[in-house]
Amino acid sequence: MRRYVLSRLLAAVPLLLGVSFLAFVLVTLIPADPAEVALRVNEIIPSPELIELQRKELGLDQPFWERYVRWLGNSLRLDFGHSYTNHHRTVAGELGRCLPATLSLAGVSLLFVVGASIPLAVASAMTRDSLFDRLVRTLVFFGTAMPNYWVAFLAIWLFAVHFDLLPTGGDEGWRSYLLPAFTLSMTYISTYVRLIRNTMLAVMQEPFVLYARARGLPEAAVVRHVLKNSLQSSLTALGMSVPQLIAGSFVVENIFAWPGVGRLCVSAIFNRDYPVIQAYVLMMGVLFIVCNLLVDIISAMIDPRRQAEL
Amino acid sequence: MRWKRRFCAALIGMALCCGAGSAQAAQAKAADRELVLANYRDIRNLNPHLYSGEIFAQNLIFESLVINTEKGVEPWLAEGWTVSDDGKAYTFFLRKDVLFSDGEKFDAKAAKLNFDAILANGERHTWLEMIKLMDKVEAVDDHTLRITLKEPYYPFLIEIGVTRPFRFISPKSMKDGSTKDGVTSYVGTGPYVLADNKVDQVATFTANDKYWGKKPAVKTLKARVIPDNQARLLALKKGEIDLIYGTNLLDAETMRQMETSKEFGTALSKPLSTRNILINSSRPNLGDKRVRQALQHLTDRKAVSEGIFNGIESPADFVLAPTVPYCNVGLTPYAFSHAKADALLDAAGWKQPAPGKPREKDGKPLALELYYNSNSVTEKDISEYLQAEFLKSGVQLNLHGEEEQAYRDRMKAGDFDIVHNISWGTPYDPQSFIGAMVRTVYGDYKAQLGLPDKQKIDETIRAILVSTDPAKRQEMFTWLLTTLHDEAVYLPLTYQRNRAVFTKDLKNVTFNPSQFEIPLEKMAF
Repeated sequence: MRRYVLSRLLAAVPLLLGVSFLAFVLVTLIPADPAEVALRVNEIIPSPELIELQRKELGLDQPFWERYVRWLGNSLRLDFGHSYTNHHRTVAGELGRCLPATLSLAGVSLLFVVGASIPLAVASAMTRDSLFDRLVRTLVFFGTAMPNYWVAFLAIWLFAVHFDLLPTGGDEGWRSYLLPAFTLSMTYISTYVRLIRNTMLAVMQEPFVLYARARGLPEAAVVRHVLKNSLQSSLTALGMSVPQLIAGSFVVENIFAWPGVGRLCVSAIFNRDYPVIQAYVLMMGVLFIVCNLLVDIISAMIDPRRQAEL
Repeated sequence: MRWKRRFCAALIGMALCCGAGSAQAAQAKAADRELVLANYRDIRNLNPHLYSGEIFAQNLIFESLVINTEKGVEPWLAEGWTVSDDGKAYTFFLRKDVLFSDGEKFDAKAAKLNFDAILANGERHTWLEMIKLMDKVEAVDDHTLRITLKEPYYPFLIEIGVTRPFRFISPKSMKDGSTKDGVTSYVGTGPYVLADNKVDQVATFTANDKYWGKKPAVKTLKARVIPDNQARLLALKKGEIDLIYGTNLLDAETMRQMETSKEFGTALSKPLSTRNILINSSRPNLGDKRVRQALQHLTDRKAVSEGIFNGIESPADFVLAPTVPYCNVGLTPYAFSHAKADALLDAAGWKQPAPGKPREKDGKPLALELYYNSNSVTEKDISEYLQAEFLKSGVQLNLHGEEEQAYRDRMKAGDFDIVHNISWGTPYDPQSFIGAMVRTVYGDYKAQLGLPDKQKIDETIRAILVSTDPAKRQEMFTWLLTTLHDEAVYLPLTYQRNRAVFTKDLKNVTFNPSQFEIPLEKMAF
């Protein structure tokens, strides 16, 4: 087991390096001079002298590899430089300012996902082909098919404007979480309801269920065993949903004026604030790799069959 | 993305039809209520001597010596001024009753400190011609400030009245007398002070109790950040915000929709800038004036105005509207006429082999490359309209949508046949617009290089900027605008107008000459 963990950790290193290189190089591939962009985003009309001055200030007159190594070294110390659009703010500071809002929204969304998908999936599986099951399956179908910006606008119109129950956006207390978290979690709820329901139905055909019933175990205990055996695959998927919820929040954050990293990244893209974009891409890449690693390790640890293999 | 816009528009329409929410919101509003406006981004760095803050917010806090109004330049922190006979020295007589909101006195010493701080960072302001011409700034006495130029510059007063960089910040806010590397606080003499800013969420401004001028009717302003267009409209409908203001925040479709609503007021400014197409005279197919003139005749501005802008932007006959100073020079517009265009193209030797086919000359087709900013839906729509209209007379347009920065680079390099363009807008027009023709700022310089009179055009522009006699200046403007119109380098399309949508009970929603300022201090409930 220890060997497995170590080998996975070592394998992650070149992957992380690759991600960092991509994050750095993708931005430099944009067919625009970053020095000129840095001037333009501050609404300064660039002259050749100003561009030259800016190039020196940003260290863009240095060779590519030198810039990459310096950037990587600084990134390891969480120093991503300064924002182009606001020279007095550090990129790390900006990420630090926005990350709590995104994490809390992703956290609430995750609660929605877990809180809604398990009961719905269990009830649906237990009442297979009933009216309730069909209704849930229809809702799941729509939930997966509807793009989240569409759901977001419908939700604002219905709950904020028409019924005047919730704010349209912003971060003004717990009520502000409900609509964006609902929008963000809807696709995941639909996915997990379907996943858990189908796995449960498959597990219900296993001999141990027949045996449990033959032993006269109460139905609640049978369901508990079925659920326990069905959650394995969902748990792996749920682990990967955490970075997806964080990285995928930008549409929802933009519509609900949520002050998170997704919105920071969108405005950085519009403003061509390259250091922020680079740091965001790097952060998301690292998050996916780390989460993937953790999910693999955890699932190896909790699955007796895999433990035996290792 | 059009279907997305249409879906959202339909949603707003449903919201407008359904009156719930707004009535209660209206009742709940007290007499002394705060005004909440929406903006698409944070107010950012409000240092008045730099360019990275929201102009509307800088304009609330900081003031200049003079102010640009519809009637022209008027006194502001300076009660009056005199200009020396040679047009080089301006003496300003400052108001004696002005305090910064931190209690510091605004006098000639504070004004000089500000000018010194701006000039110490001169390279940041080279887009303003006057920066290069400023020789010295002196505090003559406590309330007299003299600015001396190296040579006369007629738009001097207009340029010190624009929102930045010539506005005054309290000397206490400077870092060792400098603003170049940031300021410690945003303290000015204006009608409002910045009370709080929750970054990316909401900025709160309160009335400045030390304000020397007429106190604003609304005591508290909030600028809420709502990046999405449709979400802003839904917030307005719900009563969470009172005002959406500006061309960046409201498209023509939304304006038309809101105009029919009984719950909201709308306002449109006078024309502020001219949306136009720049035709590159130095390109082989466009070197002949007759071809450029034919393109002018092939453009139905009325159809663009009504079909694309729902009439919000009026058709433009000239690159600078006759309402712009010095620009009412009695030109004759190019009428929309395929017959005239055909005659000009025939005369230029471009023959059409068959209807709907591109014209040819020496075996080569009359194909032109049109570039537009791919982020702009409007530019794409206009380009497609022109493509269809031009082909009727045998002019083939190949459209290329490019990312904004690449598109700007191409403009500057002159690597285009035709490109979308916009004038600088009031109060920068006409001086900054023509000033940018003599060097590579946008595409103007390169587009004019094929004109036989290019040298004279540049000389005339330089002479206009330093002229001291208004009659002579007008004479030169008349020649310049007539030449540019005759040479058909600019294809005017529409006059862009500023716009606002607001709750019905908000009064005095007006416009300043600069489209980036919002006269919130004049608004009231």
